[in-house]
Order: sequence, then structure tokens, then C-alpha cells
Amino acid sequence: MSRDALGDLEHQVLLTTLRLRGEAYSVSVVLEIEERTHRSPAQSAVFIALRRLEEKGLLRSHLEKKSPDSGQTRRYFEITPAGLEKLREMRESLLGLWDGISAELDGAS
Amino acid sequence: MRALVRWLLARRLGSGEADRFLEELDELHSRKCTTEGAEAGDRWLKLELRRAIWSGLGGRFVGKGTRERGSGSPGFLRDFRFGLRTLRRRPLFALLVVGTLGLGIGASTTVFTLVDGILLKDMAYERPGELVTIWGTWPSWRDDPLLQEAWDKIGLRWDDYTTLRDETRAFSGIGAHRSGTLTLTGAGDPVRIESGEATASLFPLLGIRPVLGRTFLPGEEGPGAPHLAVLGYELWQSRFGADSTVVGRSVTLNGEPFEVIGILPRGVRIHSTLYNLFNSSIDGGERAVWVPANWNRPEGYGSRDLETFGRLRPGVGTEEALAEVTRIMKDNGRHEDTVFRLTPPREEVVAGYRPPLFLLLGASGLLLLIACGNAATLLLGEAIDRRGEISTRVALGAGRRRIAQQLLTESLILGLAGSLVGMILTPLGVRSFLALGPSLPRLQNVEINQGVLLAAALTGLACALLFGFAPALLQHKHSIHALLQREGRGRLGGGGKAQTLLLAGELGLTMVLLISAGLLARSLEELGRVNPGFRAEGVATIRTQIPSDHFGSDDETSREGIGLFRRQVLERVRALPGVLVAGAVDGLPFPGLVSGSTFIIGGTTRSSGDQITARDHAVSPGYFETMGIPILAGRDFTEADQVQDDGGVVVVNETMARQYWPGTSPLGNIVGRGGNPYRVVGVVGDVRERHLSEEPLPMVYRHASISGGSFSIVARTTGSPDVLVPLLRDAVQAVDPGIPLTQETTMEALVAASSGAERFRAFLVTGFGALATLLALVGVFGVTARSVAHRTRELGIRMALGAESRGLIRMTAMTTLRAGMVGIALGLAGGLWVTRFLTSFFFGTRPWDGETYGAAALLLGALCAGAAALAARRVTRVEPMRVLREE
Repeated sequence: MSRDALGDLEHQVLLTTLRLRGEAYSVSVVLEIEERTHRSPAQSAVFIALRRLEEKGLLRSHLEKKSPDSGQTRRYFEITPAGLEKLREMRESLLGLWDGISAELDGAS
Repeated sequence: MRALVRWLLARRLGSGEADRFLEELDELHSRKCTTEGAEAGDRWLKLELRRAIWSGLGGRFVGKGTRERGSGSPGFLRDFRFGLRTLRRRPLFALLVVGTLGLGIGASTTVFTLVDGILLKDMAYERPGELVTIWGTWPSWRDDPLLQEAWDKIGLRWDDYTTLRDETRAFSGIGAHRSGTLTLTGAGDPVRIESGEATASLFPLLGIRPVLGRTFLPGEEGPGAPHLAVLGYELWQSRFGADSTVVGRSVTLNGEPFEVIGILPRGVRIHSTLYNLFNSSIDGGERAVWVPANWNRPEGYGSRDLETFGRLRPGVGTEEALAEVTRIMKDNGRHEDTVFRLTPPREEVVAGYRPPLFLLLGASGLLLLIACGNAATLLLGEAIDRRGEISTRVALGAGRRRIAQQLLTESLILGLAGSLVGMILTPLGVRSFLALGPSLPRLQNVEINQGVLLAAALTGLACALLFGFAPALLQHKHSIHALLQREGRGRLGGGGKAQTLLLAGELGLTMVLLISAGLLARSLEELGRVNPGFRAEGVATIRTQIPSDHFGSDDETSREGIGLFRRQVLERVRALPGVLVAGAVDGLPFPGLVSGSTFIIGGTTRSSGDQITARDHAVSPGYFETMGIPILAGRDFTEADQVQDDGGVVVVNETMARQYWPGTSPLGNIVGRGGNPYRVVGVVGDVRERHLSEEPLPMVYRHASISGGSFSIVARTTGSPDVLVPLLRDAVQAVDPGIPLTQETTMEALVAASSGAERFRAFLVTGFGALATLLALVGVFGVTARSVAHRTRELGIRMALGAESRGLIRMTAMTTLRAGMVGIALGLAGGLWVTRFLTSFFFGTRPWDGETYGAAALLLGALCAGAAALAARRVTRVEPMRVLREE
């Protein structure tokens, strides 16, 4: 596996961020993943994964006030072109692996 | 648990992001409470916090798990990378440990490099272990203040050398040399050069082979030897442009033609003990030209000034050889009173320099210890900080071995980096040391070798590993449960105590260094207060080096020629603008005379008076006034005094007058020398001749016209003496341009140079003391700051209950200061013990000088209090509300 390959959680966080279109932060990402996968990731893991993906250049972030009169800020993430490219790559490699085995899986279930 | 999560996250991402996480955690928590009920929401929060700790510490997030496990890095490399990351997040801590270790290692390896080059490295002769130098000693000189410096430096006579060479069985070879000066003319300006006379056997014996031509052959030595010269490499380069055809050509030395037969390799140094003794030099070894031994001395020349080497035959010990030398010499009946000694050539050079180098080695060793102590304090503090983290990791299943390995790796990184800094600092230190111009011999041998660097690296590693392992050791002392419970709850014992102890020890060692530095500085100050007996300010000087035979070959003509030359020069000097008064002397104080002359008090023969030894100088009229030496009774010399050949007048110093004419005036009394009577016409104040620390000795001043040799001109000016020096040169050259000149300087510079060794020692030890203090302050600051961090809860509660921050600052600082007081007390005791060994370096001060101890204690105490108070100011950053909320 190459050095910048993504772990499962990172893959999920990257996809979810794309899906949330600019509204992604740890809370919204956790809720989205829970809703779509019916599994509950650790919020801290998601929180760190977001920053990690940003470090890798796959996400970018900006700070926004929670509400106009609030002093607290929230860091929102969105996907970068590199992030999109990464997802494309992963989709291709996974589809390559899926190719031709659907019948067995369906038959087995 | 929440605090732990925040702390863990803050270490990874900074406190801003950690707070943001907690806010987002609360946000999701409240959503869970709304959608799934409060109980389920709280359960979720607990789980989430545990998962955060687990994943945060186990490296599950940040892709670490998948990526690095997947990449299959070896365990060490992974730990190394993790260690680097951990340290990068604590840059101040890493910087302090690395800087501290680097400084200590750099200082100690610098000094060790010097000791290695000066004391340990052998001489650059062939098989130096077999070589010895052969010296006579005259025990009766040992207690004579005038002669004691020379008592064990009695050389061999020419016939001693030839006898020994012919009769020895213990030595496979004997070679001898003598140092002197010759005037080289016909190759650029006339120049006085350091020369050596060598026996034919000398160069082969020492394994020195010429780069061109040959050295002397048997038969080309002794009285009547042919005029042959072997040039030193440097002279060949500078005066003959490295021209190889110079071999076979003739050069003019002392006005006589010498055939050049060979060129010696670069950097040949044959150490001359007698040259050093008589020139107050430390490293007289480089001779510009070599001529055959005794080439111009008559048969039966009896001076004991040959410095002799012998190469021991295999299997012959020094004692056996010494017995043989003694027997041969006694059999020849020439050395009844002489006790011989055989000394390795290196010992001959370094013997007197061991104590000051060991002093420096000791000081740098203390600094290294302090640096290690400081690194240990920092690492221990870190260990205390990280106990919570480590305990949690252990609780969550990480193996102790795994954690120990990780901690060791981090220490290894710190140790390596510290060693690296030390290795970078060492060449800088050595270079700066050499640039200071220390009065130490064999500095050309000082070079950084791999052994020294390896030792530096090992020291750093050993220190870091030893103290870096403390966290792992601490783990075994405390149950995980207890540690988890205590995490974040105020003070932690164990490591904290060790840290305090280390700090006390560190301060104690610093005190020892400060006391030593203080006493050395005090000695220097006392030395500066000593009245040398003359006023050095405003006096410029220059020395003539009159070649023998320059003013005629017989003594009478030569003396008259020199006398006329001196008077003409003085006349010109006195006419120079700004010059108040000028005089001449055969040898200036500092470096001063080593030898003395025999005088008869009250007569001219042994039977007519008491024979005594006293120093004597030949001085011109005006010398005393120029130097500011007070005339206490009688008068100065006048030009009219000079014409009496069969005696004349002398001036004595105060000590001489007191010692030999107690209670009466010496004026009018007779002092005999060489069978001639001299009448005492004046008494002058005492002058310290060789060193400020010496006691004045009896001195007889004779008229300059007695002297038929080189002299120094001194002139007192109203302006700057530095400006006068070149004018003095012009004045001498206007009278006779063929006279080589040396020692163009000021009297103040000569006096300062005489205590150069003391100044150098005091400077270095003070430097080490200052570095040690700096390190100790870092330690004090670190321990106090950490104590504030650990007591945040307690301090917050105290503040909430109304305690004022000033009181809290004082309270926190006092905890550290108590350790400081213990350290200072330890240091005072240590100072008393250590300085007993340094008494030979002290002057006018005692090793238990109360003022120095008090000043050192006050200084260190005040600095510690400052550092502790500065660190304790962090108390004001404690937010009581936050502390209470976290509770």
C-alpha cells in the first residue's frame, strides 16, 4: 500500500465531507456516517481524521462563527481537487476488485 | 477524564483545537441526549471519552494505525519517528535538554582536547617511549630564591657529552643540542634568528630526516667544526622562497659564511628547556637554523648548557641507565655535586602545566556534571508530566516493555542531538581557546581526534539514557490505578522529590565553580594591587639584539662601541617629542632575570667579606627616573661614573640594604665583584623582577658601561607609550640600521603579560562558572514552572477562596528556593573542600575567604530567587473558574 493510502475511516470521512458540501465538521460527519453505515465512529477519531486529511491536502477548512452573535467558532471542511482525485482513484481500485464477484456474493447470501 | 482528553488533544493539535473538540463533543452529546434520552447520552459521552483516550494514545487516529502498520516499518524506526514527533511538540523542552547537554559536552571535550594535545600526546620524535633527557640537578640551589628555578636544569658540558657518547652501554645513542641566536644577513633585512647547535647524532637519534640534502655527519661537530648550516623549513620558505638550489650555497650567519647542507621538514620542534628558562618562554622549540654543536667554542669550553637526549637500549630501564650515567660522570671526576635525572622528553615540556590544565579539566568536568544534572531535572520533570499518559496507556493494554522502549528511543534522540551539538561546539571551543593565546606549551599538537568525539558522544548518550529511563522506572513504583486517580490532582510525589534533589545538587556544584572562580578572580585582583616597584604607565620600550662582534671582536672595543651606540641612541630618544626621560638596562623586569651573581659585602675577596648572591643589572643614568623607581638614599648614576674600569659605583635596592646593612646606611660601603671594589652610592626601591607574586630579592645595579651586550631602551612619555614605540625603533635605526630589534612594547603590556596565566585561568573558570549558573537557573525556572502546572488545581482553589496572586507566587517560588538553599549550603561545604586543592593558584587570598563565599552565595541565591519568581508568575495565569468547572 502506498504511503498516502487512506484508512477506512479516512475514506469514509472524505466521502462524507464531499456529501455534506461545505457543512462538514466532526458532529455533522459523525451523524452522517451513523445514518448511512449504521455504525458509530468515535467522534475524536473523526475529529482527528478531518485534520489529518487536511494535512494531506485532501481537505481544506475555514473558521466560521457558530452564530452571528456567538464568540465561538466552528471549523468547516470541504474537499479539495486532490481529495476528489483521491476518491476517484479509490473508486476505481475498489471497482476493479469488485469486478466479476458480484454473482458469487449474491449467490452466497 | 475530560481533562485528560483535553490534555492529550492539546499536545497533538494545540489547546485551541482541543477546546473546539470538547465543544463539538458537547454539541453531539446534547443531540444524543435529545434523540436517545439523557441516560443514553451520558453513556455515549463516557464511551466517547474513553475511546478518545484510547485512540489518541494508541495511535488509532491520524491514520497512524493503518498507514504505519501497513508500511511495515521496523519497531525502532517507528519509535524513532514517533519520538521525533513527540519532541517536536515540546520544542522548549527538547531545546533545553539538547542545549544543556551540548554545552556541557562541548566544554568538557574542548578542555579534554587540550589536555590530550598538551599532556597526553607523545612528542613527535621517532619511538618517543625509548627517549629520555639527561639532566643534572644541584640540590644546593633548590632553596636559593635566585637560582631555584634552574636547580634541576643543569645541562651537560661538551666533554660530558663526548664521554657519555663513547662509554655508554645503556643507551643505543646520545644526541645533544643547545639553543642560541644568530644574525642572518644577505637574505633580506638583517635578522636575529633562533638557532640551534646540534651534535651529528641528534637528528638521526630523534628520527628527523631532512627533506632536502643531509644533516651533520660524525666529525662535523665540536670545536673547529666546518661552517655548515641546516635550515629550518619555515626559514627556507620565508627567506629563501623554498628554493631547492639553496642547498650547497652559502649563507651569512654572524658575519661568517656557512654552507647550507640540508633543509629540515616542516614543523620540526626540538624543545629547549634552557631556552624557555632564560627567555621566560613556554614553547621554545622552533629553531630557524641549525649549526654544528660547539662550532665556535674553544677546546675545554665548560658551560653546562647542552641539552642531551639518550635512546635506551631495548630491555634497559631508566634506573639502570641513570646508574650508568652517574657512574660514568663520577669516574670522569667532573660532577661531584651533581645528582642526575633522566626524564621522558614530554615530561620535560609539560611538567609545570599539569596543575592549571587539571584545574580546567576539573572545572569543565563540574560543568558537564551540572549539565547532566540539568538534563536529568528536565527529563524527570517530563517523566512526572507524562505519568498520566503512560499510566493510561498501560491501563489500556500497552506493554511495559513497549512503553520503556518508546521512552528509551526518545532519550536516545535527545542524547544523540546533545552529543551532536557538543561535537559542533568542540571545534569552536578549541578555536576560541587557542585564539585567547593561553600560555601553554605544545598548542600546535592540539587537534580534535576521533577518540575525543567518541567520548563526547558516549557521554551524551549515557546521560540521556540514564535519566530518560526514569519515567519507566517511576511506573514500577506506582500502581496504575493510583496514578489514574491522581492524574490532574495536584502534586505528585516521587519524581518531584528526585527532581528537587537533583536541583539542589546542581546548585551545589554551581556554587563550587562560582567560589573557585571568585577566589581566582580575587587572586588576580590582589596581584593587580601589588606594587611592582616601578610605574609602568607611560613607559615604552624596545630591545636591541646586538650581534656578537658587531662593534669589534675584542671585548674592550666591543664594549666601547656598544657604550657609544647606547649614548647616541639615548640622546636621540630623549629628543623625541613628548619624551620626559629615558634610560637603558641590560634586562627589563618581567620577564626579568633567572640567575644571580656573587658579591662580597665589605671587601673584594672571600676572606675580606661575606660572600652573597644577588641579582644584578647594568643600568644607564636616567633608568630609575624613567621607570619611576624611587631613589631612597644617595644618588643615581651619572655619565661620569662610567669610566672606572677597576671598580666603580653601584646602587643597591632596599631589600639588599636592609639585609646586609641592617640599621645603618649602606652608602659608602664596598661591594666586591670579580675582584673589583664597588662603592654604594645609592639605595633604590625594590622592584619585582620576574612576577608580581614574588618577594623582592637583593639586587645590585651597576653602571651600564660595564655591560658589553644587548640592552633595552625605556622612555617615559607624556602621551601614549604605544605611539612612542615606533619612534624608538626609528631612533635606534637612525644610529645603526644593522641592529636587530625585539620586544617593541610598553611596560604595562609586559606587566600584564606576566600575569597572563592567572588572568587566563580566572577568565576560563569564571566562564565555566557563568555557564553553570545559566544552566542552574534554567533548572530552577523549569522546576518552579512545572510545580505551578502541577498545582493548578490547588492554586485555583486558593485563588477562588481569596488568596492574592503575590502570596501564591511567593509560596510557589519558596518551594523551589528551599531546594536552592540546600544546594547553596552544599556548595559552600563543597567549596571549602575543593578549594583546598587549589591553594597553589591563589595569591593574597585564602581558600576559605569569607567574602568570596558570601558573594557567591548571595549571587546564586538572588539569581535563583529571580528565576523562581519569574517562573512562579505563571500562577497569575491560573483561572480559578476553569479549575472549579473542571472539578
